Amino acid sequence: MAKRKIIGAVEIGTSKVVVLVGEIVGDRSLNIIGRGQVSSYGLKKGDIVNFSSVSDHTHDAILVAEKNAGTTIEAVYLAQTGGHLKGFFNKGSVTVSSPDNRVDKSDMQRAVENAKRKHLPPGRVYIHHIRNGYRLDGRPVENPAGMRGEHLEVGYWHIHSDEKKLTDHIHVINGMGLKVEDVIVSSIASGCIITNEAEKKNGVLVIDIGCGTTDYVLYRKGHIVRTGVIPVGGDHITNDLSMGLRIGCRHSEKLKLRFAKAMLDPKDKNDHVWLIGDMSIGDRRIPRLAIYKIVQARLKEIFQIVRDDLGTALDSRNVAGGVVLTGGTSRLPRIGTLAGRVFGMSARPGKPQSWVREGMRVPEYTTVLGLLYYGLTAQQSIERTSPRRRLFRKMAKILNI
Amino acid sequence: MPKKNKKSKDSSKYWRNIDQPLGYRAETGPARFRRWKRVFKLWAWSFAAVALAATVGYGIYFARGNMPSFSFSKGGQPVTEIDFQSDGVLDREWFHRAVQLPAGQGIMHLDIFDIKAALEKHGQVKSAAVSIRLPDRLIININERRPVLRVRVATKKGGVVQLLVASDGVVYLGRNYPSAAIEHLPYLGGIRFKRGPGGIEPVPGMETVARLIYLARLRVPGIYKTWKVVSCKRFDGNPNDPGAFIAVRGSLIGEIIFAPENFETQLDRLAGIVDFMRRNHRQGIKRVDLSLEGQAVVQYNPGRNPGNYLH
Repeated sequence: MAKRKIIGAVEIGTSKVVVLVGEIVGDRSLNIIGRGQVSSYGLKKGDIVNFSSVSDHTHDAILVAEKNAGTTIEAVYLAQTGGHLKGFFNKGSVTVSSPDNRVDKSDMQRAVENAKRKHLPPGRVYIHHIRNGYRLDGRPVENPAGMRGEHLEVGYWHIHSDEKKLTDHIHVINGMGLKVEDVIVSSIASGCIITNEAEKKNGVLVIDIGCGTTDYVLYRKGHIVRTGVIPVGGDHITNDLSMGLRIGCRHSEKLKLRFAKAMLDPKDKNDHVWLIGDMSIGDRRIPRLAIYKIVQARLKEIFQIVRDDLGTALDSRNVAGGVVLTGGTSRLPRIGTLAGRVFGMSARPGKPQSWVREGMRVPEYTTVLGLLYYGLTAQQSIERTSPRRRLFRKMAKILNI
Repeated sequence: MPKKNKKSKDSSKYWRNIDQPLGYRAETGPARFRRWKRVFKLWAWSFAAVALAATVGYGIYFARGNMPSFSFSKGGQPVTEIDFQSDGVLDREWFHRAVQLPAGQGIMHLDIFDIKAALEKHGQVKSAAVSIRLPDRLIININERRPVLRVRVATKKGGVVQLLVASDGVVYLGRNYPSAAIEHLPYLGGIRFKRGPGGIEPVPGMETVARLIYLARLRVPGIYKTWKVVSCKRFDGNPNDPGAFIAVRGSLIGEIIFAPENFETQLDRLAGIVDFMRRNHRQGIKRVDLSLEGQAVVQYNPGRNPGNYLH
């Protein structure tokens, strides 16, 4: 009988909590068997500001997903975002130790240890160490084992987080009686589901514009070379509309969803739209041009911040795949055109890979789908638990407890 | 896809070092619900496992013949009271002679079907009902055959034994009958008994003969008392046989011939003949043939009476 594991992918976003339940069968196939989505309160730009409220809504979403799946989640893969996430690049280099200059495993291990040796300031913890590939005497190699050379280098992109803020997120899940199996940065989760291996090899920038934050990840030569989080998202567009048009947030959110476009559209820029639409008190005509200008200004600013953050790392010659946009805000019409202009390269809204069911192929689920995909690939790695613990888990799984 | 760091503890700090307390008190409703559901499932499965183990254990224990020591498992208490009832002459002593109950045996070990078969093996017993009433009572109900005739049969040892014939033709050795009840019974004659695996086979036509005897005792008891032998030599049980008749030999009338049907008329005619004979001071009738329809032929003993008459 094939091994079966039920995992949950949890994204605690600023506007909503999304939970997907996946069944991993035989470490090879993934079936999405349950879904739970609940509005979220108590987060600001990805950080928890009301633990109790966030716990309530997250636990509700988990319960709904478990009920929908008809089973209980065994382990959780948790998405992580927020302005507290930082990253840096660090290299480890060693001189090849063998007399014949042939690289062996111990050389590689020493290089990796050197790359990871850097200590973080107090209150910071590592989340990911992402390898960028080896260089042997300055030339990039995939796997240097057995090759001849004198100087071996390995580069790592390290992502670290504020310990307290991350602990809050983890404890929200622990409060449901579940253990967090792994924490994955949202941009990485999104990136792995909406780009394929060819795009990653050619170089691609993935931007996930959420409600409170914008996450990005840059792939080059198949490796993640940069990640980042900007504490600006779709909510800021809503606020801008509210302030710019002097309307309430409820109406501005509605205007954004119904009429907003990322760029000026010459076809209808002289049109007007009704704020409420029922001629009631407070209803009034608003020029589309005003909406477009406000939205465009904010989105342009977001893209410019991303571009400035990436700096020289973002070179159109190394990023042939262009820019792929995801997240709820990527639904805005003409957003690809705007991004293309700002970044000076092709840009398009992304879609999850073809194996994802049609109903799930929406930008809002990109991150959780990526988490499940990550869970599947992680399952294929070495099982680190002890045999005794595995036996207990198997028993618990059989009994569905 | 980022690679997991197996040596995470060696590096500065890794998020996996963050403590994940799962055992603290659940704060939210969904968490409490989930926890209780989990506890309930655990208990339910534990209970089911214990129940299954107990059932399997008991099954093995039972299969090895280790029946638990309930009182009935050892056969219950020995029979201390036998409630014997019969609609005839058989009594409790006869039962003890007929069925040897093992002493001290538990009532639950008694095979009541064996007892019933043993009782019904006796020809005198028409049917037997055997039951037990816990804790120690055995109940026997016997339905007996009634003797209609008697017969003397030669034994294999050269002796002679007197057997009785019931109305269903069964020939049996009568037990416990008072001699007064047997002595007045006429003998059955003119029959060749057939022996089967269970002894003498039932005599055919005895229902008809029993009816004749019953009516004779009822209608002409004085004449019946003089009957000595009822012969079925010319009656094989088929009353429609045109040549069939039942012959009765007695002390008052040498031989009376009955047709095997319509006995009431024949007996009334016989009573009339005997009455006529007494009123006319006639004695010694040798033969009366009542089998002829509408009339009887009376044959007197020669020399003592004037002649034969048709009545």
